[in-house]
Amino acid sequence: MRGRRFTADGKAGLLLLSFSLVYLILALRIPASSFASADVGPKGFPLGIGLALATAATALVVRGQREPGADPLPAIAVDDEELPPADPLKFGVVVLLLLVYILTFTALGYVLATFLFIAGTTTFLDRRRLLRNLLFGLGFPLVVYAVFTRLLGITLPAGLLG
Amino acid sequence: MADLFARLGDGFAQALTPQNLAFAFLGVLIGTLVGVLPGIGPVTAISVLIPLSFGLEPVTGLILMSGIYYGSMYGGSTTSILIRTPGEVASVVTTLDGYEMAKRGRAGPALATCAIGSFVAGTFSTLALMLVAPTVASVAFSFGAAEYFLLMVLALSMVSSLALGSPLKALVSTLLGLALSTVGIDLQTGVPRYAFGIPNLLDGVDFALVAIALFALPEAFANMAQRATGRKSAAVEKIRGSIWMTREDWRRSLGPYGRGSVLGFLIGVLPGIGPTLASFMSYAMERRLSKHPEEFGHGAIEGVAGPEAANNAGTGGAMVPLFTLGIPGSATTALLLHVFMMYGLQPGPQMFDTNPRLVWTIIASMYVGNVMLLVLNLPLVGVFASLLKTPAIPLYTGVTAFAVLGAYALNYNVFDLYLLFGFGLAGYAMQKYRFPIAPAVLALVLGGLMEQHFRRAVNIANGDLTTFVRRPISLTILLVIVLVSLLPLVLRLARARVAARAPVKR
Repeated sequence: MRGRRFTADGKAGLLLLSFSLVYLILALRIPASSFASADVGPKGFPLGIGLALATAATALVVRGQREPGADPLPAIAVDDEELPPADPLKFGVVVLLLLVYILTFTALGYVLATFLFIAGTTTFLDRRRLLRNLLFGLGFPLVVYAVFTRLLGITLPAGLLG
Repeated sequence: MADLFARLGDGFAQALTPQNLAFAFLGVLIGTLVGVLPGIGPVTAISVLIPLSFGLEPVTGLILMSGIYYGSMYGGSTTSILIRTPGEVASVVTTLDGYEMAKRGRAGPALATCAIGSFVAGTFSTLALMLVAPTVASVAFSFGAAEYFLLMVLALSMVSSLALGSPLKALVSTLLGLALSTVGIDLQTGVPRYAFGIPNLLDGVDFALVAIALFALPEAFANMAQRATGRKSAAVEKIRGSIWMTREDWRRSLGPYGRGSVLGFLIGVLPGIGPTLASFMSYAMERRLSKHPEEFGHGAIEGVAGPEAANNAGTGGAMVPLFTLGIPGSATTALLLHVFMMYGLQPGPQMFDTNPRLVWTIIASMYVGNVMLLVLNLPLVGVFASLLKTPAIPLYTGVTAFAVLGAYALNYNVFDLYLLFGFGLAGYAMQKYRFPIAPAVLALVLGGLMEQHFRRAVNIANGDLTTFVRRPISLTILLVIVLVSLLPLVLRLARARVAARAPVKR
C-alpha cells in the first residue's frame, strides 16, 4: 500500500515535470513586449512559475523513488481530500453521461437535457428506484428553470421546448 | 469610537431592511442545509451558487453569499456529531468527542453546545473584526506594490506550509494555480499568453468556474461511482432525551467558548488553514487545561465546545485580510473576493473610505446572521439531521447538474462547460493523488494581482529587484515568508506529538 503510493507520487511528478516543460517552452514563445519601458515583460512571470514547477516536480519524482516507508512525515490522520474508491466502469459511464449532457445542453435545451442527464445517471446507478429517478429528473430542471428565468433573470437555453 | 458606532448603526439600518433580512436568512438557511449535506462544504456551496447573486444588488448579494459561508460552517458540525463525518475539515476535531457524546445519548447537548459556542464565537469575531479591520486598513494605506506582492506571496506560502499532508504537493498545487492565472491577455502589454488562438481564453480562465470544477465535480464523481451502491455510512445517532445542556454542561462549556473564540479569531486571520488549525489547537489546549483529560475522546463536552467556537471565530478572522487588504486567505474567502470583484468592487483599505456603508452593512448582517443561525439551529436540529438520510445518488447527480448550471450561468457560454469538464477530471486526478485543491484555487485568484504588483514594483524601482529588500515593510514581510517556509519542519514535529496523543479516526 505504502509502496504503491510512493510510485504514484513519482508518476505524478513525471507528469507534472513534462507539463512544466511544455509550459516553459510556450513561455519562451510569448512575443516580447512592445513597451521598451517595461522591466519585466509578459514572459517573466510564466518563466518563473515554470521553473519553480519543474523544480517541485523533480523533487516529487526524486521522493517518489525513495524506499517506501522512508517518508518522515507522520500523516496526521485527517485525509479530508481522500475520495472513496471508485468503480472504473461506473466512473467511466458517469463521466460519459456528463459529457453527453454538456454536448446536448444548448441543442436540447436546459429542461430536456437536464432531465435526460439526471434520469439517466440516477437510473444507471440505481435501477430499482425508477419512479423516484424520473420524478427527480423532471422536478429538478423544471424548478431550476422557473427560478432562474423568472426570479433571477438568468436565461437558460430553451432548446427544443422553446 | 463614536464614529465607529455611528457607522455600525448605519450598517444595521441597511442590514435590517426587509429585503436584506430575507436574503441573510436565505443565506444562512442554504448554508446550513448544504453544510449538513455530506460532502458539500462551504466552497462547493458558494461556487455553485454564485449565479444566485447575479441579479441582486451588491450589498444584498454579498449578504447572501456571506450567509451561505458561515451557515455552512455552522452546519458542518451537525454531521460530525451525528454520523462522525465532518462537513468540512475544520469540524474534523468535533467528531472526536461529539460523536462519542452522541453514542452515549447526549447528541442533544453536543449539538446545543456547538450552536451556542458558534454563536458566541461568531459574535465575538464579528466584534473583533469591526475593531481590528479599520486599524489594519489604515496601516495598509502605506503599502505599495512591493508590499502587496510580498503579502500575496506570504499568503500562498502559508497555505502551502500549513496544508494538511505534504507541503511539497501543496506547493505544486499553488504553482499550478499560478500557471493557470497566466492564461489570457497580459494586462500590461496586451500580449496573449497560453490562449492558443481560442477567443474564449483571451479573458483568462474564470476563477469561479475552476472552483466549481475542482471542488464540486471530483466529490460528485467519486460518490456516484462508489463501488458498493448505497454505502452505509456510519449509523445516524438518534437525538435522544433533552437537547438542552445541563447546568454542568454550561459550566464546562463557558471556558472553552471564550478561549476558543480568541484563539480562533487570531489564527483565523492567518491565511491558509486558519479555522482548521484553530480547531485543532483549541482541542489540544482544552485537553491540556482540563482537570480530567482522560475524558477527552470519550465524550468530553469541552472537546466540542472549544473547537467549534474556534472554528467559527476563524471565519470572522478570515474576513480581516479580505476586507482590509483584499487578500483572501482561503478558497472560500477567495470566492467572496470574486463576488466583490464581480460587482466591480475591490476590497482593500480604500473600501472603508469609498464604500463604508457596504462594509458596515455586511458586518452588521453577520451579527444578524449569527442570531438567525442560533434561532434556526436549536429547534430545527432534528430536521437538519434528517437531511443526512438524503440518498447519495440523487444528491450527487443533483450537485453535478448544479455545477453545470453554475458554470453556464457565469458567461452563458458552452465553452465554459468544456472547461468545467476538463478541470473536473483534472481535479479528480489531483484529489486521487492527494494534491490539495485549495492552494490552486487561491493561487489562481491571486496570480493575476500578484504579477501586476510585482511588475509595477520593479518598474517603479527602474528594474532594480533589491527594492523588495530596501523597503523596511517589505523586508519584514520577506523575513516572515522565510520563517513561514521553514514552518513545515517545525509543524512536522508538533504534529507528531499531537498525533501520538489524539489519533483522529474517520
